[in-house]
Amino acid sequence: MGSSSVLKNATAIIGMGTKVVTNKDPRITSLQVQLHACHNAIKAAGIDKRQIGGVFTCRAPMGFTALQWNMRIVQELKIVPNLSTEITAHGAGVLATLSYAAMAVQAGVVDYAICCSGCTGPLWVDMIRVNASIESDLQFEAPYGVTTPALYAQWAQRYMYEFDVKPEELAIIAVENRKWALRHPDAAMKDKGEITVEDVLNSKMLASPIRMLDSSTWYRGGIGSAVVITRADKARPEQRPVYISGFGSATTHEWLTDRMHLSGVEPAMTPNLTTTGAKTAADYAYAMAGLTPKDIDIVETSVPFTFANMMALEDLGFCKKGEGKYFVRDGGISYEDGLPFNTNGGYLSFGQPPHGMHMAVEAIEQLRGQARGKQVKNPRRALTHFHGGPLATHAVMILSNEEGL
Amino acid sequence: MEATNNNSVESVQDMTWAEGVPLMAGQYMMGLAEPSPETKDYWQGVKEGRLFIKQCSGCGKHNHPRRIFCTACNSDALESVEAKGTGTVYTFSTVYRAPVPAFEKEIPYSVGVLELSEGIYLFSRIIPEKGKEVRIGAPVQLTFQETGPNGRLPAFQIVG
Ligand SMILES: [Zn+2]
Repeated sequence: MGSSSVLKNATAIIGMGTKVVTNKDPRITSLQVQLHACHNAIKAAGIDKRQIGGVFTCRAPMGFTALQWNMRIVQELKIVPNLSTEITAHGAGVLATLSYAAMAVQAGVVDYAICCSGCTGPLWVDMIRVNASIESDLQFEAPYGVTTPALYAQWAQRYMYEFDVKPEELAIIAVENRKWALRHPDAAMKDKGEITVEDVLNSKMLASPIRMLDSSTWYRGGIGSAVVITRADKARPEQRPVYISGFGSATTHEWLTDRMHLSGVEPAMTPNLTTTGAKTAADYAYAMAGLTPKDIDIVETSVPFTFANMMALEDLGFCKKGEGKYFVRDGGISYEDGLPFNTNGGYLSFGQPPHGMHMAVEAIEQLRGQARGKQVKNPRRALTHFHGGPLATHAVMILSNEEGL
Repeated sequence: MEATNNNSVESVQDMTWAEGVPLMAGQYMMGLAEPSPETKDYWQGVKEGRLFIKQCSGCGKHNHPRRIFCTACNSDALESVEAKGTGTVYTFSTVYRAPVPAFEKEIPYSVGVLELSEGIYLFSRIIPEKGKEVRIGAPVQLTFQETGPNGRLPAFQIVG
């Protein structure tokens, strides 16, 4: 371990609340699902809501258009925060809300902050149709008939070309993720059984080289998540605190083509589609925590395709660039005895509730020994990586159940 | 966003602020996709069957047609210039599931990032040679083709 920042483990998550809805439940809105999560988190923290000085939200969820999303949440909570804003960076912003909240409590501007996200978009809008229009340049990309997989496939094709990655190597990620999902009660694929590499290779081609089973599945519903945070010295044992050891973010572009016009700055010293901002974000997070990938017990990432998971394993430092295929092929993320990776099944098999904080929720539950799926044995540190498409914006946070440096 | 599905392109043309340059993206994206002041020349060129990109009159660097400031020298003195229309395939995907019904009759089609001879990258349709597949590094030549609900758009044909 190297030297760490004064921010390391200085902030504690002291309350977490979620609300899960599926298409079998009465249909509720993104506003409702987030409010349920907020109230559950405040109750779990055991504080009076009027003690909350900071409210950090994701951007307006899909299927619920509101120009001032953060104000809608504040308006419903009936509190008067000193600091409140939405973090717009797609899915990465969802995790980054915790970073802003941590800085606010560490600066002493507020004592308690709440971060919330969540979306029930799949219950209200056609996600396949809508999502590509959010993730593409509407003048220069969308008119050609792009889908979300077709945008990510631009990265996949180039990555596989440069590093000679085979579809069967990528397929292993889908196979391993599925095993975790089968044990998780909220996973979209929990009743769908195991899959094989052949199943992945035989699934329908969506946008070459991406097949159906290389892709995340839209969650048939939505999940609201909220956490209450404060300074570590204010946390009480009964709140089961989980500490923020390090965090970092990196936004490289909004649209794919423009990523190719970025150069002279990490992670694009030269234009490329093979190293994402996850690398930069992770570098910041590890430096703050004074940790290396070897110190991490669990990894949760929100990337939605097999190739992007392989790139994430490289960019987050678990293997070298271009060696993800060996890492995965040699059992690096084996469900049985590899690095615990996407322990609820990940986006591929848990499913993708848009704007969800559920991958961080999974990490927190694991660190508290309260996993609802398979519990990893005595984990101390979890790395969470959230991203917004198409691999445009990244946030990394390292969480720990151990107080102090 | 989805509520715009039933509107026609014509009905919102008058509402754009791009001096009558029509909407070019699919109807499902209307209201978001107007040509903007910095891309008017590009869309005017498309209408005439020509491809305009930007060039910096300060340092000479070519830029993507939507740039407002030069990425090399940060000057805003960008002029529209006609591209040679040649380049190579940097990456691509062949689409088998269309985003909206309007594209279904074209499936499968390839979309991807081209590296133009001027050194900029452009997203477009890529048309393979007959009976062949698109491949990274293949040389391409500008053409125009009817694309989904959007009329004639720049596309690139693989040559040789
Ligand atoms: Zn210049």
